[in-house]
Amino acid sequence: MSLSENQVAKILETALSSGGDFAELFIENKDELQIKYEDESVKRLTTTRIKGAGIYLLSGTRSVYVYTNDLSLDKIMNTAKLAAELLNQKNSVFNRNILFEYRKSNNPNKFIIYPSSVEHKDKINILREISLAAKSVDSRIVQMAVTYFDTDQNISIYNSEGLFTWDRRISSRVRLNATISDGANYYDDWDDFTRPQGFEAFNNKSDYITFAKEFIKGLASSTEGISLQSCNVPVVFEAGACGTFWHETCGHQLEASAIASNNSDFVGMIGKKVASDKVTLIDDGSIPGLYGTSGIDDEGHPTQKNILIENGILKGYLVDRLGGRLLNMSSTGNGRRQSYSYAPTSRMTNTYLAAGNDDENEMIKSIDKGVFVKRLGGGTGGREFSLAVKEGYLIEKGEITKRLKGLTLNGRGIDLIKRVDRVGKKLENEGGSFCGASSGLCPVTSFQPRMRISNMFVGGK
Amino acid sequence: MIGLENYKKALSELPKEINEAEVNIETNENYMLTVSEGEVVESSYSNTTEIFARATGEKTGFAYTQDLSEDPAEVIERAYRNSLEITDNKRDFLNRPILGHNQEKIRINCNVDIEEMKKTAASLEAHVLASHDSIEKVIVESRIDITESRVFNSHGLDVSSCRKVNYLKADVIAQYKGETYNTTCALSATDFEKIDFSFMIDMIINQLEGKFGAGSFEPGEYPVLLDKTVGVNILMTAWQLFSGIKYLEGSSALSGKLYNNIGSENFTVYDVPAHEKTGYIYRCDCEGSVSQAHTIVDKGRLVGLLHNISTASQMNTKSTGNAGRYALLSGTIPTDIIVTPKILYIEKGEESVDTLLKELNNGVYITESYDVFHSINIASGDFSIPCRGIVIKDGKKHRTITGMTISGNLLDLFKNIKATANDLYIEEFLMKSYCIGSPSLLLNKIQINAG
Repeated sequence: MSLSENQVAKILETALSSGGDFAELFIENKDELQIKYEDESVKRLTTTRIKGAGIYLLSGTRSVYVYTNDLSLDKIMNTAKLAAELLNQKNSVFNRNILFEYRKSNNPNKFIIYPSSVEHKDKINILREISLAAKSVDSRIVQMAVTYFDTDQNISIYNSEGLFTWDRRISSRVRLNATISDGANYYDDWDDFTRPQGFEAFNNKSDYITFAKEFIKGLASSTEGISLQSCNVPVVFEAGACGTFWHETCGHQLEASAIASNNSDFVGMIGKKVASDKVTLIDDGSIPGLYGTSGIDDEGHPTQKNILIENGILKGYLVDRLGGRLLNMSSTGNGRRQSYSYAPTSRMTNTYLAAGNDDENEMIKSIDKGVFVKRLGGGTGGREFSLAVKEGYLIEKGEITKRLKGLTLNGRGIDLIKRVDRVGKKLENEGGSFCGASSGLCPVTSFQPRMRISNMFVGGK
Repeated sequence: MIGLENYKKALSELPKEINEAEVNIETNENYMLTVSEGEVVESSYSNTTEIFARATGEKTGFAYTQDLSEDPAEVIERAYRNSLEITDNKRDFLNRPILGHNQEKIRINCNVDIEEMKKTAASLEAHVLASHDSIEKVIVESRIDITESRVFNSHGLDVSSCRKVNYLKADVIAQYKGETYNTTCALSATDFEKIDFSFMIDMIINQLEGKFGAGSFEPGEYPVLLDKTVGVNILMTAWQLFSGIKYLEGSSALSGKLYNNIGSENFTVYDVPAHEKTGYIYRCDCEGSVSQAHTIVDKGRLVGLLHNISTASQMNTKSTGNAGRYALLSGTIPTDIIVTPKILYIEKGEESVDTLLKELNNGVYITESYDVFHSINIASGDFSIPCRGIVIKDGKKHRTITGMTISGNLLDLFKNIKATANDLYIEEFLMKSYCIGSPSLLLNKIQINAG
């Protein structure tokens, strides 16, 4: 059922009835489709309907979050009453009438072909093409699955300050998972082709065919990798998705939740030098065409460009509404959540290292012995980070030589970002992925120009 | 809103093109309080119902909804329509009514005392704060989850499983020689009174002491003691080695090794529906198969796998009650029925950690590992896991070290288990859909990379 503005106002007033100075109702409707293609046949096709609402209640820096997927008015009102009981603060009484004013959300991502308008057979055909292209690359594939996903999320946000806004986010994704055997050992891996688009994501066939072929080539070459003895060497990170380095070394520590809980090396460092002069780090949820982009964050704030580090100086944090109260700062449009079943918190969107002035070739040519990281896997952030290297190579006498295997990078982020001694001129973005944290999985991108750390520990054996 | 009993009615009135159908309804009620300095700073409540449907004509299709206003017949019909696109020749098998388990109703006390949650959290906070001079701040999360899972199908199966889990988590901030350190510890039980504060405090102090003033280390092969949390971290990804699906498709490093020796005689692995060390209870799986306790590895020999109905039939055996939906996070609601553990753990031994450290004599006590999701390859068994620890000299803690990775192959690790400690620890994992446990593990050797 849909709620009238009067009913929403009553729900928010009920939530605020035992104190509290702010209340918000977040309503979500989301449809997802998943098609699994394996052994040249369709194995699974599932449609998913997500529908629910969350009520967020604040009293100073104290928060209450309640949610339900029973959207009958009675049930939502009962849930609002429970929120009030959980807060149970009589120190302030909200006694204003809530009148909503609609604020339009301008999503920079434009959608042309809505997923629901496309027949399943057209989507299955994309999977068939990807499967054939992948299998044509290497005959040693022993298992492969190609899975199609599309999502169409509609959110509405009402709050006690009178805001009413909504946003629609659509994405398309194909996950390719494969296992290769060289006769003695098995090697498996997966990667996603992700677009914040409708079915127009597949208009250019060469995009997804190239993705499939490059993925299998990378997996095949991993069978030939050598282990690297532990060493401290210069490391060059390729332009594009190696921006995950920034996501894990700095990004999570710059979220207001980490700062407020003193779980970051960047606490109290605003205005201070925290990285090399070459580092300018930005988070921007308003860039058209990127996976981490939306018109508004999940608290209704318009997304914006936030400079986090400028020429090595810490300039700001990623701030949501509650984080802003805890840190006495304004929201930066970074209050995000996977769905109504999570309270919003400070999260990254599109995080990138700004382009520098260094020559991309020179930063490799000038290394006698080092490591070239072409592709990173996932990792974890915090004071100490770790990153799996999906595709890495040895650099010997200025040339990229042997493929390496079993590399994991770890260390303390705030130490390493001081050692950035080259940042290339050409900034390249990436398709995007999910970031998992306390408010669930959020779509993000992390990218950069080619970049070099003058000296860091690497090693497999 | 359509009553959930109407799903049962819809199953009894299936249209003729649908041969069989099944509905799994998962209901979750959750209360959570976060306490700092004795006061509640954050609280939450949720009540959700999820409906998973599968319907078979010639093939099997799936549908999922959280929309409680949807017509049950339409949800089942949607699952059937989705089956029309399937080109694979296989169809799913559904369970038949199970004698003695139909209409099973597990009575649990669903009362929730918010004041007790607050008092328990405040008490844990006070105990942890008093436990070590370095600890400056503790934030405690107190949580109660009440979950009911019900599976019924057009053959008359109707099985339900309920549980109430009480959970405490402490986030700790400590100061040591001007540096700030963080650590976290969590335990669950069927009742708050059963949560052992001293066990949690020992874990917290052990984790912190493994971090303070850490230095570097020389790479090489060393005898090690892996802390129980490290064992849990590894097994959180490594359990997939025992998945019937992965075994059959050849993407497990154990594929083809059933009934072979894959570890030392000190390596035994069980998968059970309930255990005294956790509040989680899994009485039936999402296909309605009754969960059983079974042995996966017996003194180093691989004797069992985790099966759902489909993988069991492919190996001419019976489901082990391990049908599940959440393997690893995928970013979407996982509707596919795969294989997941219930409470999978390595059997504990008799000796204490202190005794095993004496037995280690000279080596490394690995106290913490992180990011095992991205650093273990299930197909090859290769791993390279970031970690930190303490150098052990003459059986005593000597100095802390960090910036290390341990690397090798899981099968070699299993073969190198010299002893297991008596400190079994079980942790909930992945949307609370299963639990993983391990004691501390004494290994003959492991490669440590450091610089």
